[in-house]
Amino acid sequence: MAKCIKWFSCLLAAAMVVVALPPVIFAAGPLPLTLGVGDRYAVEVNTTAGQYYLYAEYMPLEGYGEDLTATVYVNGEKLDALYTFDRLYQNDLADGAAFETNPKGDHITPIQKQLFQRTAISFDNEAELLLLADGPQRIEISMTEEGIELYELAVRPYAEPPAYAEYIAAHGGAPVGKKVVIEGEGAALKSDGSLYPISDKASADTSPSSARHELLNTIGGSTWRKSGQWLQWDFSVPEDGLYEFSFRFRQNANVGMNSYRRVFIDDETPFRELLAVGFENSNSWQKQTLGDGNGAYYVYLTAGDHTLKMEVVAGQYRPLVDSARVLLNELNALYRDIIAITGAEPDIYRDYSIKDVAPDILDGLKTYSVALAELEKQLVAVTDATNEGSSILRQLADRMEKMADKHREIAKNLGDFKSGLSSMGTWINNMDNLPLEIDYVVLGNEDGEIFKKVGFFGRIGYAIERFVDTFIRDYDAIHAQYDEVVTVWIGTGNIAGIDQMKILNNLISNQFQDTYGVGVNLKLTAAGALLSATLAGIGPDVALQIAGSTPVDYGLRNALVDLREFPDIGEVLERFHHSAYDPFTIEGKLYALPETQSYSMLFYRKDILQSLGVDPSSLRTWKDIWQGVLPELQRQYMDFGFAPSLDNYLTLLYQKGGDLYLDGGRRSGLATEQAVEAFSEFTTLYDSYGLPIAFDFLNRFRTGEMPMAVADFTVYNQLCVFAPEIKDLWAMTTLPGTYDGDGHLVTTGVAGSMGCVIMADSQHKEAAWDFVKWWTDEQAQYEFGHRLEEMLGDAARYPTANLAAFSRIKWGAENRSVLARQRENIDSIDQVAGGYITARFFEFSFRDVVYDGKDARETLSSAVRKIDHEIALKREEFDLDN
Amino acid sequence: MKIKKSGFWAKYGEDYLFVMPFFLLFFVFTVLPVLVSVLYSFTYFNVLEPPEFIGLKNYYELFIEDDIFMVALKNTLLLSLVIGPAGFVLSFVCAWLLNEFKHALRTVLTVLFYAPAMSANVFLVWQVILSNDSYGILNSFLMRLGFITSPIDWLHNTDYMMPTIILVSIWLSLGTSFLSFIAGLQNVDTSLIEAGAIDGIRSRWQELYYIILPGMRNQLMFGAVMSITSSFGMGGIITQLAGYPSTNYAVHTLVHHLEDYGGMRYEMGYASAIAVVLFGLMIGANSIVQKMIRKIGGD
Repeated sequence: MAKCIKWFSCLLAAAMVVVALPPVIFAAGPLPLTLGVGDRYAVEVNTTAGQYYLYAEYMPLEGYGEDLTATVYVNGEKLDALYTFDRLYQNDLADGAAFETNPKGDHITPIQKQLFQRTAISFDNEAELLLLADGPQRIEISMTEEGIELYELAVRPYAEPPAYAEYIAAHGGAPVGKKVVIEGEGAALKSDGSLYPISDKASADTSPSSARHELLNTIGGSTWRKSGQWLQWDFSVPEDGLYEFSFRFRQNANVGMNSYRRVFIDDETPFRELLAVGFENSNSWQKQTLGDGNGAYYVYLTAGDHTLKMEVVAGQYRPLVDSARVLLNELNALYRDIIAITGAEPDIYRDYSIKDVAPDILDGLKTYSVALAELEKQLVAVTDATNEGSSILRQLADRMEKMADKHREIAKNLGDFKSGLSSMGTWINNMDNLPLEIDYVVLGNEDGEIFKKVGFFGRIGYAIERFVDTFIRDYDAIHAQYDEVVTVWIGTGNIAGIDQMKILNNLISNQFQDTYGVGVNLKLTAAGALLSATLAGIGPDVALQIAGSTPVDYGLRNALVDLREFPDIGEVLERFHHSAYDPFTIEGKLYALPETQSYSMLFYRKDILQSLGVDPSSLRTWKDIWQGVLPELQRQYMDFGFAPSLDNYLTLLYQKGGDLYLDGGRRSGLATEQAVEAFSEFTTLYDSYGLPIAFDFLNRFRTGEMPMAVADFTVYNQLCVFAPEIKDLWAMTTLPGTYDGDGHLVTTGVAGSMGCVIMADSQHKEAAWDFVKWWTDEQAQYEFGHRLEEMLGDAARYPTANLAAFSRIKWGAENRSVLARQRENIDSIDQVAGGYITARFFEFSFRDVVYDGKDARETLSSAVRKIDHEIALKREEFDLDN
Repeated sequence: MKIKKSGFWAKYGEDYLFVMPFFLLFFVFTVLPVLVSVLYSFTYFNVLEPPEFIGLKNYYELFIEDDIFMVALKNTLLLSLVIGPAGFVLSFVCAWLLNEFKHALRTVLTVLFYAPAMSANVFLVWQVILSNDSYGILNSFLMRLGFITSPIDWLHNTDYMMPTIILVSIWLSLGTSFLSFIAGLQNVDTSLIEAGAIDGIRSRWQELYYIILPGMRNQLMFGAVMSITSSFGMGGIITQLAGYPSTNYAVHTLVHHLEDYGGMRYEMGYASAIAVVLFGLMIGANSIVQKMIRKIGGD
């Protein structure tokens, strides 16, 4: 019987023969073998023509936690598809144990533990298949981001699973009615650490359900959305026979579209229909039994243990998204061709004679407009209705057709064309988003009653119980077991929010409270509340994510604890670059420990610089930029982005060896010769070189109007998420520098940080110190950042100030090295008494010079007099010597 | 036990009882803060530590040493002299014109005119219109027409800031006083207008000055108080538009100066002294305006 199950596959595969030749090894030694980044391994086989797939047995290596991607070469030729080996995760609980509960009776989200064990993978999704000809073949894999331990690599003939009709004809047995329920949250294995069980209280039908407690009762949702992510459940059935599969699920994020999943039973997709099962969009929970118009599909199972695996696949959207992405790249190039002639802000009444100057632009518009219309037709055919995507494509196609027909009015239509391109980019991005939340899966169909229901009164009762519970719930019970409780405030805004608070709370209850015997009462508060609360004497013990001059301002007024009073401060500070805590230091006292730190980097569009013939690695100094690239960019109506901020001015100043303050914060440093020189250079950029004073970097970078810019490195993540259509077309690198007298290149950049403070009124200073030490430590910072990114995606990548934790965050090898190189050369903005006045007069002076054409030197020196006066007043106020 | 009622409580007790809820709230949240800030104005108070009595030092510094205060005072007076009366007159003219329409249409138009004041941050559209980006609405419009070649920083260039702020503020000033004028116009006794027509009123202007305006003196008074208070209290809107502090303090008002010391420099004592001066200015301006309004309709 077992042999017969795969009769159909055997039939097809019989014609294809694989003769394995001895493997050719590039990394040293025979299998098993550790393949690091860049290592290659090849197998040579003799094949007959046909479709094949790669089969590998391997163990994931920990590395940075990035995807285990590999590229594959067939006879030396690189394939487009990226092959990703799975990582394996599971709940960190004892085998078969239930979720742990806290004293309130709520479930604690289990930590997701990565497993390092031998496992197998078949690369048999459509895009991954190998099309091989007759004769000897050489298949090579090369790891691109991370490493694996490889045990076996084989090329196997591929046979598509049979159609359901053939499958069912080959299997006897009767349908089994007895129900087997698989709870979604109990998934035994998952491909991603973000696929942890979650809690749903929106529906009383969700299983299990409690109005009083937060129970983990579903899995997936917004984190289970990227192609390749999968969940696997273990289950066992009591008898041999045919089983149907029914799901209680929710897909409320992908409006108007299906989310697709490939279904595996015991690591095989039994029939073709399960290669892509669609789950429809709706706001509420839905129920679906696998099947088609003729009724449910049956899967034959023997009595005993089995696994069910569901993997995110793009399904029918895949080819559409791929061609849309290619098309968009070409359209962006076309847009740049047009603005090379008209400029980004063309005169709409002028005829740019595009027909004579660049007739190929008109051809391009026509061709791509037809291609877009074709794509729209395919999309409508797949989704059976017009939707957001189809109307975006239709409008863009119409717009382009119009531009091609009325070539004199191209300039007039350019703005709409550009916004059409960015909507198309956003739409493509959304198409890759295929979320699904699973409550439970039911096998069998007893009395036609698959899903349990609480009914109308049950729902009302549930709602009433939830409401009443809000009055009697004791939120402090959770800390009752600890003698000492520290109150910690995390301000909203910046990067804090409800998700961050949840993650931090989870970390605290798992890793801090019991270890230190200190309870933590974490509260999310409005950003401005700290001042009033301190004034009223009801402030916290510790406040997190305090930015800018606040620690020093509070410290000068004796509202914060000087952290240098703690004896072990020295070793704690070794975790950070000195520029991270310098801004929290004044008069030798330290008022905060750094949590996050970020600094500027140079961003550039590879494709555009290449078309201009500029090699980014040759741009080492600012002079190279202003005299080498800038004229070239401006000739094409493009810009260089360098915002007129104090940070950017200080970059120039620090590189010339100047400083913002002298004599330990007693005098402004802007009167020095370097400062004046840097200031004239800086203002010249805007009044003579014509750099834009205000701009929207993300949008202009995306369209290519601003192919180079200096921006904070956290913008990298925003770009990844905001502009996926230019993925791989851009990069970031270290800042340009300035040569000093000895011919050394100085590339100093300016960094900003946020930190946590201990309030002077606190009654638990030692416990609070334990907490901030724990929180700024490598492990806590790494895990916080890691989970944040898993929960919210790349845009939430956490710029931790802890050096060891930062180097473990998944930036990718290239970015990690440029960021590390820039970090060796950063400096901070020092805080002094009365420091607010510097930024103010810097701004005033800048505008006086650029807008009113005043002399840079005079303006700056009169500003310095005012700054020095203010500093002197403030130092007097705090009894500091002048 | 029986409470013996004195004559005063027997007579007025109920009245005071009815006033009580409002009075309590008004006292706690308006009168008390004013009194406290007068007290604080004689101290050094950095918010985080207890205040320290320093006598008149804050006032001395304010009037003798602080040149930014003089700039702020000048700007505040200038803004209130232009915006207060302009807003007041504009509110009245709009109300008067609207009053000529039929009831249903008038209601719709009233809502339309009052809408900007209702939706709190609607002036932020001006940020988009006046943005210094070359994609800002006004800049890109002017550049298209060829009036300018590079974007103008309307909100940060000292040459343009004051007029820009004044225009936006006047646009916003159709507020509460406008509503009270509409109500006032409808309260004017129509029999007086008829009587006036018989007694020889020759034009709409005479009717306006001798009958309508005196008939709605209370509403005018209310409108004037609102206009003055809001024009002296201008700050938040300017900050949103021109940033804080504005370039070279070009549109720095007393409220900004107060925030500068209270919020930025943590000198709450000094900020209180500024608040006391501002309070005095408002009281003074109000009494002058009230006297002027009482004269309306006289000969």
